[in-house]
Amino acid sequence: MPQAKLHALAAEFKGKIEPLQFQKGLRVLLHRDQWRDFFVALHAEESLRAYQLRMLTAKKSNVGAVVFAELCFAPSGDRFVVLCELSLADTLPSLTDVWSYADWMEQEIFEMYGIRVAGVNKEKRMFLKFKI
Amino acid sequence: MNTAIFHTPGLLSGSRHGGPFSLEMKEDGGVITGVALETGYTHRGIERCLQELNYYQGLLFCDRVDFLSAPACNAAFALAVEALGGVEVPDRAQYVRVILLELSRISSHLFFLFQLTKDLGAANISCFAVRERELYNDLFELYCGSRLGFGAIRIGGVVENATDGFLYRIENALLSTETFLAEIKDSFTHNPILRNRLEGIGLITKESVVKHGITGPNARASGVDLDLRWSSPYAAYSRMRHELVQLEYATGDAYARVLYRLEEIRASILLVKRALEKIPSGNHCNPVSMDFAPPQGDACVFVESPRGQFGVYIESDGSSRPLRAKFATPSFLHMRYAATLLLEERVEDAFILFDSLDVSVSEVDR
Repeated sequence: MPQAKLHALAAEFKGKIEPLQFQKGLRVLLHRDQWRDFFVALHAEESLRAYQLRMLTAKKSNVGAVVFAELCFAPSGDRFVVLCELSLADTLPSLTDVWSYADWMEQEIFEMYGIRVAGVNKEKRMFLKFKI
Repeated sequence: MNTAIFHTPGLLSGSRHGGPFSLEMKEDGGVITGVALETGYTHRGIERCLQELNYYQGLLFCDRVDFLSAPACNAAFALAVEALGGVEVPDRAQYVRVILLELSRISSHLFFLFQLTKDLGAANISCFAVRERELYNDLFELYCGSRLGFGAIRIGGVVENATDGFLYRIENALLSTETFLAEIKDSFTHNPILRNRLEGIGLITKESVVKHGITGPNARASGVDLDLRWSSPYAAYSRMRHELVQLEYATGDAYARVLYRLEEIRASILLVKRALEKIPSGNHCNPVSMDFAPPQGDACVFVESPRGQFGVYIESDGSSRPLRAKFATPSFLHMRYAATLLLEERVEDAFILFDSLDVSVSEVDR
């Protein structure tokens, strides 16, 4: 049932949705401008609220980087991956108003991949210290 | 008047083997009014290193993410690679995995007890807890040569077949821990000094659990029943009966977190006993070659480590090395929450509250 809702939501945000190859779950590719709005809409939907953010990370791509969020539907353990490709000059909106604990994850992708996320403190370092 | 207390890295808790971090607290009249946490002093770049290692080497390196629960790190990595490469795991190995994971859980919780009671000033319990943990270190040494269980779980199974002698020694260790557990529980419930020191401090509500992404025993002690062993079973957990941890006192304070872990040791002992009864005979591993190359794609697996939900993401480009490896660790979020938890608490409780969260700094920094 949540999968049908996810399909509808992804279509609403013009995201390309496809099943995962090796595990149960779905993957959707979004435009940078819809990144935050998609998660706000997902969280507002009662039947999809059980999706919790478990991982937020990034990898290099030809354009710059791909940010991906790994969500899990707690009752069934189904994966849901949301991807977003952006150049390193872009700023990604923050997800902290949906999941407050996303701030440390966003700080990490800024440090490791140079991806700018709104609200991230550029003077602070969690892993790669200036003084070490 | 506000006073700034500065703790240089590692000094906050000299007894912590999890690694150093820096905690800067502001206090007013003995109450903590501001907390600044700094991590990253043991950042080893494990995720980047894994991109240069083949899958076999990667498995033997990834357990350094959290050395206190090495089998859980190995299990998550192995399960992700097995999902990618379609590797079948023999039945016997599935049961041995459950045994190893539960033994590591008991060992980790005993270490938690050691650290907490040391900071509480209960040196006798602390000594007995670490003595009890030695039994499990000896078991792991006997099984795989490493006292912390590094590399015990492999891609396609486990490192060695569990011999009858090994299984017999496990039974003996469990028997000893059962006796120890009864005495310790008695101390915590009947000793007013210990109980009053822990009761009512560091309250984590159900709402906070969801809001701050708290998992594992910290969440369950607040009454949130989140356990991947039963909600998304892996290894042989789907074939085991759910050992419910009954806790009358799931109020979410530091006392509940201690009692919950003691109860979880009891549940783990039952699980190991059940696995020992049901373990089938047969092959222990379907080994993969050193140049094993799973097809292009990605897999993400979460397991229930002693500290909470521990995840591994692996992306393969079809070569013998991962294109990307990423760990999502429970301590990363628990450490973040510690800054919130310490606010409005008393300065003298700071050490105990931190210990009650069972944060492994090595897991935070990776």
